[in-house]
Amino acid sequence: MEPLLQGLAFVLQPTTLLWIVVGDIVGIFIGALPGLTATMGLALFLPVTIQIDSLTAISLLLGLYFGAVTGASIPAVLFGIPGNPNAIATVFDGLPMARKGQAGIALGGAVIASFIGGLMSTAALLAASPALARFSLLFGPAEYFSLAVASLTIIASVSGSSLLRGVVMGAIGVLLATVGIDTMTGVRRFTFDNPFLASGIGLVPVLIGMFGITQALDDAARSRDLHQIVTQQLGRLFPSLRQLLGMWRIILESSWIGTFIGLLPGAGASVAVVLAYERAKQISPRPEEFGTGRLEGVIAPEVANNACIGGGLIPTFTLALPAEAAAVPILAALVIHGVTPGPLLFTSQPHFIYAIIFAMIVANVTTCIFQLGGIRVFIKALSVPPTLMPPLVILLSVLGAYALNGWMYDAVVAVAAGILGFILKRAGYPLIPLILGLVLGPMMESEFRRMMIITGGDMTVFVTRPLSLLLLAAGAGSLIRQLVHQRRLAQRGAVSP
Amino acid sequence: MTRSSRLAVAAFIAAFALLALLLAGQIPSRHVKGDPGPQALPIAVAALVLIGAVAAMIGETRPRSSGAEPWQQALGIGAGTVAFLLLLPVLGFVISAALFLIGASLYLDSRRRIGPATRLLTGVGFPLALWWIFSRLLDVSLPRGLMGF
Repeated sequence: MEPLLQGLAFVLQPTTLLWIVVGDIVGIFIGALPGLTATMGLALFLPVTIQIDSLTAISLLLGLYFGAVTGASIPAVLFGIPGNPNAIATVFDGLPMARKGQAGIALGGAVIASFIGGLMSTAALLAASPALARFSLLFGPAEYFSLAVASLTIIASVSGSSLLRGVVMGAIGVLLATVGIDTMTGVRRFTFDNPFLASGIGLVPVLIGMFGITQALDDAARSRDLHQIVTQQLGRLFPSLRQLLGMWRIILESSWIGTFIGLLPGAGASVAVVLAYERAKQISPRPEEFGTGRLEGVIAPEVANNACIGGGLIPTFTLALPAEAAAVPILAALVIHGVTPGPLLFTSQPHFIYAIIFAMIVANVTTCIFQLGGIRVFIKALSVPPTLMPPLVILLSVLGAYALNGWMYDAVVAVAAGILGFILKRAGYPLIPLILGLVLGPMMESEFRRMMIITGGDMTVFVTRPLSLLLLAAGAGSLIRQLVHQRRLAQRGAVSP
Repeated sequence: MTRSSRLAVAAFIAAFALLALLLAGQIPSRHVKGDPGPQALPIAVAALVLIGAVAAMIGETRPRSSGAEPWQQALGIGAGTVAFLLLLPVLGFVISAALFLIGASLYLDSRRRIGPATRLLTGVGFPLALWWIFSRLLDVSLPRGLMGF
């Protein structure tokens, strides 16, 4: 009991609270600007933390982390650009909601969902850290490879109306992920002796291009509707309690998905949000309305992405294994301050762990307050003249891509991805599988090859390990289900192969 | 999109996959025992894309309904974006962004719903605000161009 009270007392100190609030506000700002990622914000703030004590430093970074993840929903809903990869799925229904004049509900719902997701995963961190850390150890290279294959096949089969096009796009994403230097052998692949290509094709520029620029070009093409898009009534700002209570199962399952996926190193929030979205679609009584502006389509991914934070911090603290890129600066801050992460941290410094957990709770609450308080200010962005919206979104996208590394190369990649994305989208090719292929490609390849080296080339290992087999079966099941579904539709003459 | 346009897109993907397959075949096969090597995955996925694209091309030969969607304005904005990208290192962020915003909004706003003052204020004010946020607040160096900002 004493360590718990010590942790609580520390977080309630005015200095700690102030730093958490600073982190929140900066984080929301970073999350709201497309191209500025939570990882980048945390890395930029790492030098600041050197000047303050370890617990305050971690509290500041946690505030920034929660702020950035939650703030990413703002451009996702208002402009259709996810501020961070973890807001990919928020666009699916958030943007249609904004276009139906329900931007307020979408943004308010996103913040409340983030709050719930964050709290639930914090509770998970508190309750189940040691046990969950042990479970994450069940995942070896075979399971990670199978997880990547299953995620990709599920997404490829559920995105768009054509299974074939989904698979093609997923494979293109994996192919693009192979550009650059092979990390296992140092061999250059598809680089044409270009130093920028040697660093690979960045996920964030492609994501910004395919979500921001593609959407802007789509809007520009339909410019007759532009006035209608941005000047409709905003409607009320928050979903009703009844609406939220009606989604209890979606909220619960999304927070579970977020915490679990967050726990698995390499999987990441972008996988969790898409899985949570798809699960919500399955649970919903009106799955066919997903993508047209359903509140559940915003709530599910927003619960999941914040739940990922708590889940992702479990292996960071317990195994010194950052599950997400954004956890790396937090791990670095621990090490810089002389704190050794690992299972022993829970027994040797329990007050430290409790302080971090309370800091997460406070960061959740303050993020919720500041973002809810600022929603009306952000909604004012919709009063921008409608014909300026597509060029503004393009400008923000180019700037966001450029700001990642200060390279024109990233801006060029974003524009190329945006233009190609527009053409592919118009031809009926879903863009999400390509992006997910780019995310999961490196993990898929490295884990597969690692497993092959371990087994001496024996591929049966992927089906003889129960968890790996289960994951592959889930992917195959999704493909078969979609194939059957499409065959039925094709018989009615409603869809192409 | 018309059927011929969709067929062209599928053919483009097939050509891209074929090129990737040929290039992947030239990746040096340097690996330890058991490791399929750095060329294995690119070859496998390029082959998958090629097969899928060819299947999509065959699928496009079958008749199906296609809705004509407008795209001409997107072509203009796409061209403007490429021009903006080319001007960025030459003119710097503020000037090229202002030119892009004003030009693109004039192109899209054929009925002139926005007054010249609003257009000028937004077109110049927004790039300046972004420049201040990124350069001064976030310490991100934006392209300066010949004018120095």
